[in-house]
This record gives sequence, structure tokens and C-alpha cells, in this order.
Amino acid sequence: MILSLSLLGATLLLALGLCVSKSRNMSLEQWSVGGRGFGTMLVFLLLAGEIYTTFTFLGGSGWAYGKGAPAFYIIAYGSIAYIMSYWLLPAIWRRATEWRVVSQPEFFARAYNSRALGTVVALVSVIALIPYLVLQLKGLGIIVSESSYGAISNSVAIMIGTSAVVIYVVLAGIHGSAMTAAIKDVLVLVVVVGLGIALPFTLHGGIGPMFETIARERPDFLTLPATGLSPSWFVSTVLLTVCGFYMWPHTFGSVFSARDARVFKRNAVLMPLYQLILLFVFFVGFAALLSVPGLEGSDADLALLRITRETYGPLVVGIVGSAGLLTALVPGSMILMATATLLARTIKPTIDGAGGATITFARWLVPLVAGVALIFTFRGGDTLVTLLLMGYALVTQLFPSLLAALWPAMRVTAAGAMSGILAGVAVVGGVTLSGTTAATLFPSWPPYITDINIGVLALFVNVTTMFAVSRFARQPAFTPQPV
Amino acid sequence: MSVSTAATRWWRWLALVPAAAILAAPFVANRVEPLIFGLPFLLAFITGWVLATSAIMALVFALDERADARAMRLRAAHTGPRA
Repeated sequence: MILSLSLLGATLLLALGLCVSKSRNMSLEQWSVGGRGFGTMLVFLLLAGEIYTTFTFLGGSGWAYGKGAPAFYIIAYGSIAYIMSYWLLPAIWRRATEWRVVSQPEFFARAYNSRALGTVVALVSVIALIPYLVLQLKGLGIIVSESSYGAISNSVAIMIGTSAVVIYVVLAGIHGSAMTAAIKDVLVLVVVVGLGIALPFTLHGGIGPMFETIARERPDFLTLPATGLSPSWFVSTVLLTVCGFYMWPHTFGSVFSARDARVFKRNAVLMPLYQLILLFVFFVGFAALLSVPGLEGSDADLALLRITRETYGPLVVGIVGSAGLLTALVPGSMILMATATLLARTIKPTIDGAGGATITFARWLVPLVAGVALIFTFRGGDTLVTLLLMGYALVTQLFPSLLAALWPAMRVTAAGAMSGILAGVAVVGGVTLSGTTAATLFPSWPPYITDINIGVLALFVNVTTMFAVSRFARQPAFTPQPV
Repeated sequence: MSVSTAATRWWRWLALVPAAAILAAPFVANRVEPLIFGLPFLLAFITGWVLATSAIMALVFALDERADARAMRLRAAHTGPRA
């Protein structure tokens, strides 16, 4: 236990040390996207760093453990999102570079020539980021308390973890993250592939025999069920997640950090392969299903660390915990930084140029945002996947207006975009707070309709409102922006 | 704009194939048997198409690069060398 904890501590100190050694004299633009100077490798690592989070590490194995085949949606959506990125990201990048904007709200404000729309986009992003941040903090808590063999309680672990993320973010901007992201990617790759192969072989005689055992003991576990997390749930969730994939302010933000647009096209070729490390995450979850059964509900997220603890000694637990710590720290810091920057720019929009005052302000907001996330973390009870899907449902509402901004022929006005986003967010909010599903709204409808992810309904309301308001409200037409 | 427009870049439609296949997976491949390389059929089907995504996007990228290079040469020949 002492061994695993000291490894965790050493990792944390290393991550913090790396960012202190960097120059701290940065402009806001550099602080948020590293001054637009990254090449292919670093952007690749950064994008990978953001995509492979605690969610993949714990949530992916947790869902394979708790739900089975529905977890495969996590492999499915990435590929389709990368196909889309081949055309979407260069288009965003060209406009962002020409307009010299470094954030998503500025992008919308400039595209629609509306400050108000920029503010709405910023607020929606902040709201969507909270469940995402909560997810990372919950993950941190799980990792630290499991790696300490329960010596550190979950809530103490969450507090320590949150403080670490806050210090990390205040000390460094993206440069600290980029360096740590590189270390994290290597470590997480070794750990996930190692566990994904070693566990099935040592415990169940190989990957094939493991799946044969599951197929025998839980025959329905390796296919999608006819109702609930059914094929229509799968397809609608994949589509919704694809639409939201690049709408997160921090993924949108890393688009700005590329040196040229070809970087994205090369990434669209490479990233689907990277996606396959998710297979090993699933293997861990399935191995745990047979070996450490009985984790119910949100405890399923413990599956990976629990089986590691049961199978190996403290050294391995410490290494796995360190990899897990970094998967929470890197994305957690990016998300926290994105949220604070968004808020700072929304509250103090007048400062341009170097933005020294905004940067200071953003750093002051970091602990505040972390505090809010902390409150929600302690209230929770949801699994990591549920939290992620909630954030996705919110952030996806920005997608129709983004497409319309890139595609002036759609003739969407600022008022149309704003009403669409607000209508969509209202539907998501109403549904989430009241716990409604399509099945409770329309109990007599067949399951292949009621299983559809409720976010799709919100998106439908959003698009309809957007076009209706653009068409009928008397507004000056949207002026196409030349590129 | 460039000489070869989106309309002539037919290969871009190839990108729809893996996307459609992955979305069709729950309807055409929602089975456990046969296990392929030890994976249940649904997972193997999705994994196969993830690999295909990468291959197809590599092809699209290569053809796009070639078309871009050709378009640039044509434009240079058309306008003549500039100082």
C-alpha cells in the first residue's frame, strides 16, 4: 500500500514539476492554445490526451463490466467522428485563423456577428463542462482510494485530487499539459494493453476462452438487448456523440493550436487506430465480470482497479493508479482551464491583445469552478458514462449552429442560432432534471422509438427552432463570411 | 477555387462506407457467434470497420493530396511563373 501510494505521489510531483519548469510569462492566447505553434506529433498527443480520459480508463471497463455489449458504442462513435473531422476541422481552422479567434464563443460571435450569441455559447459550454469535470474528479477519487487499498477514503481522495488539478492549472497553461499528456499517453498505453492481455490470459486462459465463458454463463451479455440499450439506442447515441465530439470547448480549442490544416487530415487517418486501445479496456472489464462479480450501479466503475488489486501486488497497483491519475489530471486540467477561460472572457469581454488582466482573472476563477464541480461530485451517484452522456447531450446543441456558420447557404440568423441552442438546452435540462425518458413520455410507442437517446429529441427541437426563427423573424439576413 | 472541385473528387464518397457499416452493425451483426479472433461477432464487426476507417481515410487523403498537387501545377501553368 505504501509502495503504490508513493508511486502515485511521485507521479503527481513529476507532473507538477514539469509545468513549473516552463516559462510563466504567457499571453492569454498562448495560455489557452499554446500560441498556435504545435506540429503534428504534439497535436496528435494533445487530441489523444483529451480523448483518452478517466472515462475511457474506468468508465469504458466499467460499462463493459456492468452492461456488456452497449459499451461497444464507445469504439463506434470515435471512428465516425474522425471521418467527419477530415472535413470539419480544416474548415473551422481556416476561419479561426483568418479571424484570429482562440475560443469557441468568439468563433460563434464572429461568424454570426453577435456578441450575445457568443455569451450564450460560452454559458452552454460551461454548463456542459461541469458533468465532464465531475466525471474526472469522481475518477480521481476512485483511483486514489482504490490504490491506497481503502486507506484514503473516497471523499478525501477527491479533495486531494481536486487540489492537485487546481494547482496544476494555475501553475501552467497548455504547455504543462502537452508535456504531461505525452507521458500519460505512453503510460496509459502500456498499462491498458498490458492489463487487457495479461488478465484474460492469467485468469481465463486467453481472450477467446474468456468470451466463450461469458457467452455460456451470460448468453445475452455480448449482444445488444431488444429493449433499453437496444440497437436504436446504440445508433442514436453514436450519432449524437459524433455531433458533440468536437463541440466541447477544449476539443474545439485544440483545433486552434494546429500549425496547418493538413494536421487534421493526417489525424483522421491515424486516430481510428489509436481508438483500438479501447478493446483492451473492454477486455479488462470482461475479465473482471468473471473474476470480481457483484459491483452494482456506479460501483461498476471500480472494476478495473478492483481486479488489478485482486490479481497483482502493490507495485502494479501503483503503476496502474499512476496511469489513472494522469488520465484524470490531464483532461481535468484542460477542462478546468477551458471553463475558467470561457468565464473570464464572458465576464470581461472588453480586454483584447495581450489580455494580462483576463489571464489573471481566469486563474482566479479556476478554484471557484473546481469548487462548484466538487459540490456536484459529492452529490452524484451516476456512473461515469451517464455523466458523459449528459454533458454530450448539452454540448451537442451547438452543432447545428456551427454547421450553419460554416455553410452560409443555410441562411441561419444570429437569432435563429440562439433560439435553437436555447430550445435544445431547455429540452435537455427539462429531461435531465425530471428524469424523463422517451419511454415515460410515450409509453404506448414501440421500444425501437422510445429507446432513442433523448438528446436526439433535443437536437430535433433545436434544428426546427433554428430554421423557423431564421426564416420568420424579421432579421437582417446572415451575411456569408468569405474564407 | 481549385481546378478539381468537390464534385470531381468522387473518392470522398468512400468515407461514407465505414460510417454506414458501423451504424448498421447492431442490425446486421448483433450476434455472439462466430467468435472471430476470440472476439464476439458484434465486437469483431465494429473493430474490423474501425480498421477499415483508417485504411479508407488514408486512401482519401492520398488521392486528395495528389489532386491538390495537380491542381497547383495546372494553376501555375495557367498563370505562368510569377517573379
